[in-house]
Amino acid sequence: MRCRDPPSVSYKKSGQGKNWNQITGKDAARMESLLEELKRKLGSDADWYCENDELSGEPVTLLGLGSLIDVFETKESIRKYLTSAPGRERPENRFLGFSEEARTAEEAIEAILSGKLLVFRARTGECWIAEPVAKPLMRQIGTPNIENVVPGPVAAFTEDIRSNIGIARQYLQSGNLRVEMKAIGAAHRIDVAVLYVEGRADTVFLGKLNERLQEGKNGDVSTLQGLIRVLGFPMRSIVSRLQSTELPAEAVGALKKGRVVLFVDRMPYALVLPTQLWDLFALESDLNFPRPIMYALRALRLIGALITILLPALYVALVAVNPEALRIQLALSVAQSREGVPYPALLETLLLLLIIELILEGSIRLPKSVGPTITMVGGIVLGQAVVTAKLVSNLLIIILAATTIANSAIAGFQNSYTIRSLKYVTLLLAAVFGVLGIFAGFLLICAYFASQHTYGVSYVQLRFAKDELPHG
Amino acid sequence: MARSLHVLLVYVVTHLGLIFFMYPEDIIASADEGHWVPILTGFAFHFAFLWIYMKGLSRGGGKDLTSLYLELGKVAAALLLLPVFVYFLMVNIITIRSYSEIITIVFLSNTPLWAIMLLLFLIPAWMASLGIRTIFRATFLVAAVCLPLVLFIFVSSFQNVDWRYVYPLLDKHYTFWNRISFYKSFFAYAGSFLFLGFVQPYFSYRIRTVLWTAVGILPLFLFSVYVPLLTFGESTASTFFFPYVVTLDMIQINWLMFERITVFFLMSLIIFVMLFVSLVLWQSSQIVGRFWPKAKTNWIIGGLFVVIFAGCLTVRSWNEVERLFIWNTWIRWYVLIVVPLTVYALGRRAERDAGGDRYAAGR
Repeated sequence: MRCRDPPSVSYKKSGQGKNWNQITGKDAARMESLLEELKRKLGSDADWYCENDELSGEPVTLLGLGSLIDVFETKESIRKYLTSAPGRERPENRFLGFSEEARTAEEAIEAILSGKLLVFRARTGECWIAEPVAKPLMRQIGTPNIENVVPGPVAAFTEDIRSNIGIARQYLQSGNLRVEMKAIGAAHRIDVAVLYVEGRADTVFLGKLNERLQEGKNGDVSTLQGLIRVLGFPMRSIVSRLQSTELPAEAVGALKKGRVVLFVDRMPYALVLPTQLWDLFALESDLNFPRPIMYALRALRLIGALITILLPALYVALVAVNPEALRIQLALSVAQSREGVPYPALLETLLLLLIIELILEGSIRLPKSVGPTITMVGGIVLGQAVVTAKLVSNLLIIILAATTIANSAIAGFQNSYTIRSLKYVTLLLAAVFGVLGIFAGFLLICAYFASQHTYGVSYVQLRFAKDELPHG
Repeated sequence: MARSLHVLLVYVVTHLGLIFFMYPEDIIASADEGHWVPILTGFAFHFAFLWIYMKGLSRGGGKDLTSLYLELGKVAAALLLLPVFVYFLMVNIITIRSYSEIITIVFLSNTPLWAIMLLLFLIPAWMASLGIRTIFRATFLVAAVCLPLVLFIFVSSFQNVDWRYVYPLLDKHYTFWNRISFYKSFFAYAGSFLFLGFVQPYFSYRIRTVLWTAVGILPLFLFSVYVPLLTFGESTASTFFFPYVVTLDMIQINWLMFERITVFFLMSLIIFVMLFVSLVLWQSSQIVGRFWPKAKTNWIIGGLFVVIFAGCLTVRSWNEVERLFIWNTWIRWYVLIVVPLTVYALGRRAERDAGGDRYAAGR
């Protein structure tokens, strides 16, 4: 594709430098090869923008991607800047106020892809990078979609990393807030920002994090899995090492406690690390409640987690293995409710759990206009039909409804997935060993949590306990 | 408290797991009246040697048990540690085997014994392979949930108590010295306290806090024996297999939907015992690891798992468990007396050497 030229000046002509007497052969050759390279790589794209122009009397070539740059506005603003600029004398290492220069084709392509405008100065063969007026491709800062806040600020992070850093800066106006930016990725670069409060964050931890980011600088961080691989966390662990939050207040609360926040470009949330078990129960916005209410709320979440893990298992254990542990009247009514159910309690529970998991997943997938349908159908299936058809006992419906509700009380949606999947451990053990299986499963889960750590910071760290020795 | 939290919790939890089953039976069998005398005698004994042991360790300068012994040379250390190692193995075999038996008796009569033993050992072995920090942290999480439950049921076990059964307070003969049951009862003390000598490089603790905690659990020792005695009277209580468990079965709590809260009490204690088993297994793997540094910890634990589980399977009946228990008595005395004393002597020596070095350096 050829460059659009101003009337009567062809690109080739200007490229050969007939009118520009000062150009040296070497510079011209460099510029030519750079331009050729760019055109070969990007020239065939529909949004490729290339125009020969003149800025303050010097012939230049403007290059960029029309889909990212508002060309008209950009030219307008550069012209405006030039007319208002005081004096014509500029230092040698600047051109028209642009101070950044691309020296290789790779740098030039990277700049173009990140939405910059390239300005080729034909006379000297330099290639300057200009900050253009960008097309508005970003969502406005809005309210959170996944997390709800009852008391507290309702702004949420967006996809743009710079806006996110800006939001964090606004919420934490401190000279100790450090922001380090790294571009990660071999094929396509993604910016990752590391935020921490100097003096609060553990330097050893930060050192390990930076080391990891340095080692994995060619990895792909466009997904959380990719980021976890780059950071060197175990891929098979179901305990999330990166606590995601879209609420600036939560992220800033974590920063103040000495934790580290990661922003990844195009991810609309902050990633807090190291994660702790306590995150399942405590939120920063709890502090906006009176203290007794705060404790009550946290206790509720704790009970929610315990119910999720224990209740379905308790049903299976008490129905199938240890009915004698129940009071006789209760045992009889449980038996009565299961009358006519043709399969063992474990299968019954697993079947219904499967349906509930499907409803949860389905209601995420469906568009909002169809969403209520699945709630209604699910409600009818679970509430009425299966019991009337004597496929499951109505006690089980109650238990699983309680479990599902309890599960959603846990703070952080990734954490609630963790707990949701862990309930199957106790469930299966309870089916074999009864109440013993529940307790063994509970121990197993505790031990699993206890074994998890982020760069040596345990998942079950107790802030008030001071007895751990660093060696060992 | 905050400076010894994990160690205290492990100390309490492992003892709780051991107290309520065999201990009341042994004490009730060892005396006809005035049971507090054997209980306090045993406890005073434990307390004294616990103090000596910790004193020796602290004088040794935060080294673990194996390192202290290794200062005597490899052969001497091996000879001194061999009984401890054998004791650990036997404790694991006895604990797993007898607690599986209890589970079978109380509520899983249809499940095969090997399956219960496998569950009771597989989880601790996995935990031991994850290391001491995991065991200690898991203890905290488990204790946070189960300890209130255990204490609640312990308090409610006083429901049917008739305090007049306390009398006679004094025994005229004091024959418990001659009965083997009294010596068997030391199982509850001897099992767990050695871990204090293994945790030093990982967790710190204060001697005084541990000793106060030991005093704090004395009521549990006392009442695990006295609750059955006060409920049934001596002559009935002495006929029971696990007196405390039987007493729990008599409790009626009207507002609770469960008929047998024994199940939950026992389960919590069995979780504590699983923590105890994993701790002992980890300790034995530490000993092997020091003498055979090339071996990987997971392989050592795997090997110990096979040996101990095979041991559990070869014990066929409760009588054989009892016999193991009695054989074990001799090594138990070694662990209870010789180990604290030697550790104390070695600790003093290490301290003297360190002091001598300081003196020399000062000159």
